[in-house]
Amino acid sequence: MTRGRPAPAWLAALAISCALAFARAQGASTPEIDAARAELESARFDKALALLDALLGRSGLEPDAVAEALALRAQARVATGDLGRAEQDWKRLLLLRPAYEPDVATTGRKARERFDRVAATVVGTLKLEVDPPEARILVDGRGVAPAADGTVRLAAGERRIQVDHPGFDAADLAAVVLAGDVVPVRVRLVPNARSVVLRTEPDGVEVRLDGSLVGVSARPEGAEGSQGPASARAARLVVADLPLGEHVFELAKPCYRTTRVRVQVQVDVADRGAIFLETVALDPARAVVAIHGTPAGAEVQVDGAVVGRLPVEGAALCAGEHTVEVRSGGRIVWSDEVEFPEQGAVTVDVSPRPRAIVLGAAVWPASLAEIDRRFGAEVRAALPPNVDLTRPAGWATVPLPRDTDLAAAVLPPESVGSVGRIVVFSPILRTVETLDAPPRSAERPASRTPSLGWRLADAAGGVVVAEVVPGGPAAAAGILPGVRVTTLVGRVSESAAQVRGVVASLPIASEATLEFLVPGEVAPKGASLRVAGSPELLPRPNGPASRAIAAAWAAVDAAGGEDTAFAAARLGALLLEAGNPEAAAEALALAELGARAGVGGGTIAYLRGRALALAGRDAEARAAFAKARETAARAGTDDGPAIAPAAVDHAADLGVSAP
Amino acid sequence: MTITRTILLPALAAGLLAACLAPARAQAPDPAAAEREYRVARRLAADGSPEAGAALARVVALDPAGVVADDALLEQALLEGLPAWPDAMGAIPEAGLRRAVPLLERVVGTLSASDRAPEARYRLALARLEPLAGRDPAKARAEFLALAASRVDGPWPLAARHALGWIDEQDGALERALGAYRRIVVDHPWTQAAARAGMGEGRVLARQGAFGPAAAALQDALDGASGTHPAAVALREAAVRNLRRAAFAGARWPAAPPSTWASGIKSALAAVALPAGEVLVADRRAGAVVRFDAAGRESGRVALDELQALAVDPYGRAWVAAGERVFVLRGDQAVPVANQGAFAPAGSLAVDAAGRIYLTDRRGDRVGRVAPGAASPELLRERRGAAIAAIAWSGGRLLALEERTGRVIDVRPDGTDQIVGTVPTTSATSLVVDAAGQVAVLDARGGSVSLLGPDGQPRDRLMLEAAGVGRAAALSFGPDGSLDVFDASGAVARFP
Repeated sequence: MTRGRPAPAWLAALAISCALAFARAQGASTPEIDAARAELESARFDKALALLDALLGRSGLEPDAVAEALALRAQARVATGDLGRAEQDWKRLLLLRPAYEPDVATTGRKARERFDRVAATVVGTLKLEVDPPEARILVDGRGVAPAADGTVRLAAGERRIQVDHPGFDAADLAAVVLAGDVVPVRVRLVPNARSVVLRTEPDGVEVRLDGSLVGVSARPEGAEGSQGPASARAARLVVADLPLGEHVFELAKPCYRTTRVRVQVQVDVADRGAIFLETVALDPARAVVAIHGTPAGAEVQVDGAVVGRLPVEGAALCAGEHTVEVRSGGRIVWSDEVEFPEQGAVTVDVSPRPRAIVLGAAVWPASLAEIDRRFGAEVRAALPPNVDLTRPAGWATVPLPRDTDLAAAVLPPESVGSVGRIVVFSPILRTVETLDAPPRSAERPASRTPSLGWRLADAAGGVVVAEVVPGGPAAAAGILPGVRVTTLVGRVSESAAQVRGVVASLPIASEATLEFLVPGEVAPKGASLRVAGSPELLPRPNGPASRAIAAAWAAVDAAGGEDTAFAAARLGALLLEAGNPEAAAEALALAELGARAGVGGGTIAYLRGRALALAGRDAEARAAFAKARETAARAGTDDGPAIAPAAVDHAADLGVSAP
Repeated sequence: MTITRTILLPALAAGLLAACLAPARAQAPDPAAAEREYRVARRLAADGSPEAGAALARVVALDPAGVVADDALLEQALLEGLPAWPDAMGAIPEAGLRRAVPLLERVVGTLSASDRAPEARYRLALARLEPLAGRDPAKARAEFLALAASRVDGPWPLAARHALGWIDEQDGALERALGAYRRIVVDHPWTQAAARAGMGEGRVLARQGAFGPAAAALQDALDGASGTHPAAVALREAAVRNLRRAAFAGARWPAAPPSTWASGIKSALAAVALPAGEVLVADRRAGAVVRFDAAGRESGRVALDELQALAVDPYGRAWVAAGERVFVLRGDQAVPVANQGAFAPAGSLAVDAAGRIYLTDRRGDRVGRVAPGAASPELLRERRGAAIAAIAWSGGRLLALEERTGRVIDVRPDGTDQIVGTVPTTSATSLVVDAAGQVAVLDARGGSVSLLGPDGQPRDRLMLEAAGVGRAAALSFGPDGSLDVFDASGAVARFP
């Protein structure tokens, strides 16, 4: 009798509570189901049944919700001893969930037997044997995961079985599931593709399959330095499940000739392993490169790697476009993008030139074309937003590549109007020049100016040689101060300015014929003067070169271009003028002019003294001025005024009494 | 008593304070009105309107510390005729200077952070150098040094440095002057200050006898200068002449005969050349100072009785001793500036860059000096029988010619002297100095002119009779170094 009696309510509630706790975590959840579950946990079975009956009486429920509700109601019915109606629920439930098993904690032996009986009439088993075992299996369109022995419980009836796997043809078949029985099904897929293993020397080869990038070859872990066969050490790339037929692999790597490999993929039912291709050794593709020019001995880098020093002869370098940089004096003095042919030789001519950047123009405007032609220039189309590039402070926010000597910006006309659209910034001087017109000239400012070693003066009766610079061409030709210049290179002298203009047009190192009159004599005398090249420390303000362009060339030349010492002196003078004394002193320290007549060591000492004094380095400045005042050095050019008196005046500012 | 003071003093102070504040409340600063007024005043000043000064004063009254207050004060001062460069000094009247200085002091003092303050500082220092009463060269030099060493933008630090060179030049500190000038030329080429400094360099180098570098410096300066600078052109010419003479002719006068013209002067007492090439001649018999242009044509005259002596100062101003007074010539007017006092009637006259007037008595025993603003001279030197025939100011020193000995002496500020050189003559009557510091001495009885270098060394002797000149009465050096000799017949011979 006890067995026929329902379990005590508290015991049933405890068991159901535990079972439901698990079921809650797994089963479908609706408000009604949750409410029914709560009633069950509280052993209020009647209320739970009422709720579940109402729910299952509704149409349009999701199958999962129906299954969950049936499972709960069956449990409630088992708990109330209504096994007959529980069987009805199990039957409906197994059609929806063939793998359903009632919970052993809430289902007594008798109820379990009743459930097993019901299951035997509704559910059957398929025992699947699939090759390859990892293939995907669908039953009636829903994925199934067979047990370890390959069995799958299914509702009795005819079922559609689909099996597929990459590299195989898919299988699609029907099977009848017999209730309470086990039906074996065997499926063997037919392969239709194979994996291919490419092996390359060297590694890092980019692989394209039929035009599409599929990867880069890499050496297997531990292969580096191993003693195994070469094929085992080779870099490899596995291309999985390559369809049957012919395929083309393209193997490419910089500095190597691109190679193509054709592969015919066939199926071998007996051997479904990957196809291992023979190791492909790429042929190096190198150009024979010569790099000539100045400064001799400068370091040459290609794509950041040192390849030698100027001149570089016969360097075997990777073909393709490369960045060539020549470094001297701690900076880049020449750079360009150069195309090296895959085969053959190429010669690159190098001559130091400034690096320029242009902003705000997709192409160089005509007015800046000269800079483009003469400078190592780079165009960046975009202007930085909200930056005032007409002021140095604006440029401070623009990231410029290292060793940029000049930067130009073409401003939009709407921001500045039709004039002043071009601004030229000197990162060296930290100055901005606004141009209404094209730069007067981007030509390399002459590092030397022609000089005859004299100073002239206009006077009644003609142009007179007022002063002869010791050691200069006029002194060498025996010209004395006071003679009157009648002709120079056949041109009649009209004024001191006109004669200076004639001198400026003479080629350096040429011979200039001079006719002159000595006071008291009637017949002119003749002489031949060898035109000397004088440094010109500061370009004249109305001269052809802007300060920014002059500084750019001076910086490059000082690092190894033409007349390094003169260029350093000019750079120092420009920096001093621009109010950057520390940099000026640094540049001037490189200007070794020694005891040269005219602009010489004394001139450099003087300029350094000025820079050092401005920088507050008084002791060093005093020493520099002391040196300068002891010399006969000249200012500006070899024909300029002597600097010694000015050095004395500067020294007085530093507390040094005149000698 | 104590109670009364306790109550009354605070009340009095409060009253005073209220009185002081009342005008301020009545006229609060009005920047907008000041700027409007400034625009008007600036236009008036540009038009040369006499209303400009008052308009500028109104600007300051409307906003005493406003953004245009410094401009208004400075421009008010400039209306008085302040010079831009030291060599343009000597033109502003004393009254004008007295009005200008407080205006400048206000900018420098209360508006020292304004953008015009450096200019005001420069102008104020220059005003302190004016050859007038109250001149304070020490203070001016200190101001110039401070401004030159400052790092303010604009041309004024350079102008100050140029002024330092000019002060040294006038004081005879030629090396220091050269250093100051050269520094500007070398450090700041192609500026107006460099052009001015180049002219200073040219003057100093010429005075040092470096005629070639002087000519070159002047050439560079003239090439870089804007406007015309006849004095610099003339000095360049003088430098070239001396260069050629020194280099090829043994520093001798050229053999070529002089150019001559008839001046109409019957009794030439003295002659001076002005910077632009004009020549002034004191005609004792006519009782007039006669002005000739550079071509020798009479261009004006100033009537003065009892003419005694004539001089030109470093600013190109002409001075005359006549009767018992000393006059400065302004155009065709003689403006009395000092009494000769015990030195009347004067024997000779010189004026230095500080505006000090030097004069000798008729016998040449005493040398007197009149400070700017002083009414009469003080005794500087007295030597019985010295018989000083002529004096001249040259490059920071007062040169005097002893008639009987032919000695040229440097009379120092303390009255002592030093022999500069000696001319072989028994009747030295006239002494002139050119821009290069060369000294020419006329021996009227011997009919010769002796030339000494600035160092006193003899350079040449010009025999007048051989050159076709009769009885010479007066000499003058032209700014280009040419020598004019006036004879008793009224003829003038110009030796290049």
